[in-house]
Amino acid sequence: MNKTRDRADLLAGLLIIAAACSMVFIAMRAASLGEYDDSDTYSVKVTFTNIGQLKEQSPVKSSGIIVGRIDSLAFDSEEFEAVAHLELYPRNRFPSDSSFSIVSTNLLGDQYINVEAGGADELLEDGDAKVGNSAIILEELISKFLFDKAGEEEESLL
Amino acid sequence: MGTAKRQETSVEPTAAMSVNRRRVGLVASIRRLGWLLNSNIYYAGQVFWFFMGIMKRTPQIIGRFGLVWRQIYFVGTLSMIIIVVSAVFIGLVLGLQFYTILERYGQAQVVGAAAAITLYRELGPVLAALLFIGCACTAMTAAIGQKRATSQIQAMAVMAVDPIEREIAPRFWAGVISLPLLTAILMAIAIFGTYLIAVVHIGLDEGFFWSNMLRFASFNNDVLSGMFKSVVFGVATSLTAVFQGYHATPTAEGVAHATTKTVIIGSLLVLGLDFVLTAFLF
Amino acid sequence: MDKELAVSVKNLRFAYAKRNNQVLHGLDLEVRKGQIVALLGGSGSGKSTILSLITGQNDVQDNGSQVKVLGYDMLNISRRRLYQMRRQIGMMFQVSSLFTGMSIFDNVAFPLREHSKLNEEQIKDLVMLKLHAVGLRNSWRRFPSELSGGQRRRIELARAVALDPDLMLYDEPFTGLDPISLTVSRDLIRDLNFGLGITSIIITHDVPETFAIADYVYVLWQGKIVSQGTPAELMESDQPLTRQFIKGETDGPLPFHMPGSSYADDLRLHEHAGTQA
Repeated sequence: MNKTRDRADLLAGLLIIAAACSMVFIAMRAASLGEYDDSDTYSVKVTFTNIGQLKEQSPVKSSGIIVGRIDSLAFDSEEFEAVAHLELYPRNRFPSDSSFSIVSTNLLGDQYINVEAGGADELLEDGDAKVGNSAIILEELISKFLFDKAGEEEESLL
Repeated sequence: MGTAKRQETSVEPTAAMSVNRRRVGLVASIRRLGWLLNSNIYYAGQVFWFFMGIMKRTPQIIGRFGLVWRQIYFVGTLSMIIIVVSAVFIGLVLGLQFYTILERYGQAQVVGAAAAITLYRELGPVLAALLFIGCACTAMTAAIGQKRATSQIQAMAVMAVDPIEREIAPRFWAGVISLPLLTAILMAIAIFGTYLIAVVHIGLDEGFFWSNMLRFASFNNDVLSGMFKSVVFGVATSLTAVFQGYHATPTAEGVAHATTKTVIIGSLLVLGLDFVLTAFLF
Repeated sequence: MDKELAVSVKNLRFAYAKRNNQVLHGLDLEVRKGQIVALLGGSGSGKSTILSLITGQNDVQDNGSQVKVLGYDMLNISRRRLYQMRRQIGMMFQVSSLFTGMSIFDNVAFPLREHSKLNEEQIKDLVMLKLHAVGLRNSWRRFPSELSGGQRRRIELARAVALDPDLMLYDEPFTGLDPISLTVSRDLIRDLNFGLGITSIIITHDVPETFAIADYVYVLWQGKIVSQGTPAELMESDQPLTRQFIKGETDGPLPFHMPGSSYADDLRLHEHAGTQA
């Protein structure tokens, strides 16, 4: 009787060890343990007149490589514009005159912030504020085009 | 117990009769609907009090953890074989399926990542729970039901040993502990199965396979939410199993019936809860 | 006088809640300490219900019924007191209730391990003593499935008396036994009762075996006591149902007949019950 009980105890223990090994394997090789460490990032405040489809956690890219994420989006009720707080990874430093613009992956797809490196010697520092180029809104583009066309026609009539 | 037994069996037909009362008309339909609702609420209430009974005895159970430990062997270790074998096949099929889909879009290198996320979030917990019902929960119901049919439960109670504390609660807790463990094993082995088909058989790049998995699958978001699901499933399935076993009609037929009910109610609960958890929590 | 009673039941009425059918219709019985008392009756006479009320498996209903077991009032008894009371009783079930997953030794040791603080050595001595008393000491390594029906009954008896109860309850102890096992079981019940100085209640429809050992017999029919007395008195009884039950060996005991017929009416039972009460 004791022998079978010992065997049961042993095998139950085996189950727990097997499960622990599985968890360790998943954590090490098959899933990233947590996001990138946020404490090391430096934050930059960028203001836009229109952020389009941008969402929190959307990527910040430069030349197509992810260099950071959007930490938060807010509306500045004094200046009446959108404020995006970016968290940029410290391994990518940009010149202080780099420009930020909102870009679409395609016509329908998600948007991200693109960083175009500038030529200044100084680097962007934690807490810097920049003004970004807003998202291109398709409707605005069309109406602007039509308006311009109409203006041209009016001019030609004159 | 002779009289009690006979009366017990006579409940079912009368209950069924009041549902099937073949009278047409609005009132009859409404009454039928009401009966359905009432009986379900009654059932839910019964399960709830049963659950509270188990909870009340949990302090004693922690004091006698050896009982739970032995049930973990019966419930968990004995279903490990089927979990492992199924997991390999689940991984193989997932790898193959995702490869045929993703290859059309030229995204074959994320096969591993896609399979992993699917496994962590949905398939792992749900399939482990369904296999667990088929293997462990039915055994739990049958074991408890058989103990009732041969009056072992009653004998225990008359010997002043609380059957809920001695027989029911250890099984319940063993189930709740075992299912997440089995789920973790299933996830890991299935990933290995996907690796076998995608890398070894199809010949995708091994580096891309693992690095994309690391890149797209998040431990905190995907794996832990899957494990949380499996804890919920563990509670639901184990509770169903011990409840059905304990309330089985104490005959061989009654035990068979209870086992079937465990599978039906348990599976529906798992699938329903999975939807609720996915829709509202994650 | 009251102190002499192990079990006293007064005006016991009982109905299964959901089904709303009265099983017991107000019966009184008394069991003196040290006695072997038999409840004789066919299936459906309510005798099993009485047993379940005595052991607290069913709750006594608050309708003027009174059940006292070993000084415990069973009406609205608390769980703690119920379990306290149950430690002082032993019960043998109709179906073998041995734990199939345990060896014979562990079965008999079960109540000792649960309720006493004895060490394994002492438990072993006690278990061997009990097994020896039922003549199956050498079967201790085996499992219940390896024993015959009669042997299983005896193991169950050993387990029931493991904690030296004050009151033993037997549910159909003679059913399904061969003549030898039958005699062995009967003698064991008698010897245990007088040897250990305990009180026994036997529920049965087996007339000759019961009459051989019982001190007092109650005859039940459909939730009522139709007659009572010592075996000798009942043998002389001219109450028709009692006579039919006791002498009706050629017809077989009452539950042989299909339940639900108007047999009771044929016997004009209600009139007789009325005169008795």
